[in-house]
Amino acid sequence: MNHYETIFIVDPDTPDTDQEPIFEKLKSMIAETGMLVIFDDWGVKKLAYEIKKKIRGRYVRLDYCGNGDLVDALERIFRLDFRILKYLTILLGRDVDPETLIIEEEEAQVEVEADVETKTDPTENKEDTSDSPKTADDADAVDAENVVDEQGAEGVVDDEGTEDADKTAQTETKTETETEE
Amino acid sequence: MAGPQKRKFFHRRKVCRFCADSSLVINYKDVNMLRYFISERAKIIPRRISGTCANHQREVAREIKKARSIAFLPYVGTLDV
Repeated sequence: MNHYETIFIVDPDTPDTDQEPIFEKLKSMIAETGMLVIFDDWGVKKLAYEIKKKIRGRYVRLDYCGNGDLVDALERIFRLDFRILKYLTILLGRDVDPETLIIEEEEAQVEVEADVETKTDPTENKEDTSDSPKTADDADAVDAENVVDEQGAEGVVDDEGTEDADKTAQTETKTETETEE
Repeated sequence: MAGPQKRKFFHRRKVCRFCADSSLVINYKDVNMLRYFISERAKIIPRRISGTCANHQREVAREIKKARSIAFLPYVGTLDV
């Protein structure tokens, strides 16, 4: 099985009651021969250029495993359905095991949640997100690590500062060269 | 390496961003990062100007083209974008 990612744009003027059946159909099609890893709805976003006279579109991302026939079938649906403005399928990996992908995805989700928790907690050090799985018993150890982290963080900040300076310098040289031309 | 003539422009040695920081990933969904590599008119900035190395420039160009095809980035830009 291959790992694919498909992004498609739905016409935002379509009523929700019409949009849901499309999604359901796609999901059931993937479930038949493949496996859906993520169904990601990015909501209505502005398009970089007009498609079928529309300036906005609802982006949906499908992350799934399957074989080429499944992709053909999905793209056929996209082409036939006038409410779908555009689609793009990317091959992410060959011969993957869908089970491991789903597990990885769940772990990533948990990490994201942990990050959010630590960020919302004002008492916690911001640099400490990597240590979040630790229990409260390790509080002392975590504190000690925080000091180290802070020192390390300073170094990082400095690096970033110089990098930023470099960037601005680059843009300056760029504009110079452009005017030269 | 200034010749007999006075050098007209100051040249700064440019470093490829992606070689300098290997944690950066070039992906067509990361539009804000790709914006750095397109001009106001949405043209891909050549590597002699952006300083990106050949391998990464190829990758950047490919991802920009993907982003264009799904309307994350414009094919032809305007000044306000």
